[in-house]
Amino acid sequence: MQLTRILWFLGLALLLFGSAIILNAFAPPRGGGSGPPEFLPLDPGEVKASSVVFYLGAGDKLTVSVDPTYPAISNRIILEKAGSDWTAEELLEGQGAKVFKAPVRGSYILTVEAIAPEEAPEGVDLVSCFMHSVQPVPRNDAVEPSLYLSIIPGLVMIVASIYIRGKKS
Amino acid sequence: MKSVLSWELLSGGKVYIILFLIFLLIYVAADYPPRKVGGLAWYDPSTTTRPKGDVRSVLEIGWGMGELWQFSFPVVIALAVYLFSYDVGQGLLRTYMLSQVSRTTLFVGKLAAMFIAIFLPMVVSGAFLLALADPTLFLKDPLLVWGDLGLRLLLYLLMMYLMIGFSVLPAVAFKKPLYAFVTPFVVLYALQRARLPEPIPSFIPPVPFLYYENPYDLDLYFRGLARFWVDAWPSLTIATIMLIAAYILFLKMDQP
Repeated sequence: MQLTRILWFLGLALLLFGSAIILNAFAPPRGGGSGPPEFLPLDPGEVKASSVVFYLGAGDKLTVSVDPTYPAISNRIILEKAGSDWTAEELLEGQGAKVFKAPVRGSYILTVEAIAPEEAPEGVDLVSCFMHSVQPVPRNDAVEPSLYLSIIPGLVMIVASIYIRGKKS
Repeated sequence: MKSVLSWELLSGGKVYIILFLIFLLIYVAADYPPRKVGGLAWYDPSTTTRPKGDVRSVLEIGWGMGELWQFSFPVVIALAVYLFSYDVGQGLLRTYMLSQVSRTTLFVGKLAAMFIAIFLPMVVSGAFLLALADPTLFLKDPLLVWGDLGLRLLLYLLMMYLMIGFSVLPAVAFKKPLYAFVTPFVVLYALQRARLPEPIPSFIPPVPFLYYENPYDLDLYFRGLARFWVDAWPSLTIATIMLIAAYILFLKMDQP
């Protein structure tokens, strides 16, 4: 009797949590948008970097565009998944943009390294500028199969508890 | 006390209400908005390591104080009416309980049952949602993800104390459950909209706006908590007085 009760409540809890998470995942996407441009004055031969942390859902797109004042300034853009080895990197010479797609949901660290040329003509301002924007994907595309796994053990436990109760009675 | 708690929480399908609350908290009140933590200062990558300390600050459940107040207040009042109102099918059962335990034990047990019934879903949902917000980071470092769940829950606990104080007195005072349910809404709504002279409005809850720009930044969180305390102490005092009044009424009512 005790076993059937434990199975029943544990199964029900798992089923409810799982269905709440999945239903929540189907809600329309929130947030997104773009951040303000960031400017960085550089000296010839100087390397400087800036890091920003994002929360991205699975499949969300992060676009980083760079627009330096001098074409010989290059920018290395690195996106890392916090807590894992996943990294994406791109070196942009002069003006350009890179779109990253987040493989899983979670926090990401974006680093932009601006590299100034060793020599630059007299009177040229060496300023690197970058902007970023996030385009969230519709949430139902972001439902991962692992989310459904919380429902299956719940259902199994409920069915098992009903079966055992029926056998005993 | 154990028998009172098990009666109030487990009997009559009350555990299903707690499970349903967890479901609602996860589904209605939770979201992971895509967000960015402010640009960090430029640094020299050859001498400075990449700053990673702010990683957890982006793990955000969309639980603002305002949302949670609006969501929880009707639930708390309904629970108060369900547990304390004499007429919700509990007349005979309460007589039986009072033959087993003292009135004080029964009152404290009912209050404890209310706290557990609201707080347990919050703890479970919070722990569950934060872990799911970033499963990769959670598997690597669970404490980084759960780091300030306790502080966040402390803020909710203070808020809940206000709600319980304001809902228990009408639930004990009115015999009709409908009156007990409607009175806290009406009184608070009327008081909030009445142009009362200062400092009376500071004694009226709720104080439901976001006290922190970023709840996962511990310094900001502590400052938010301190500000909440400064703003909410009059309401907390009133809630305590109402709880004491409810207790006295509970001791005196229906005495032979």
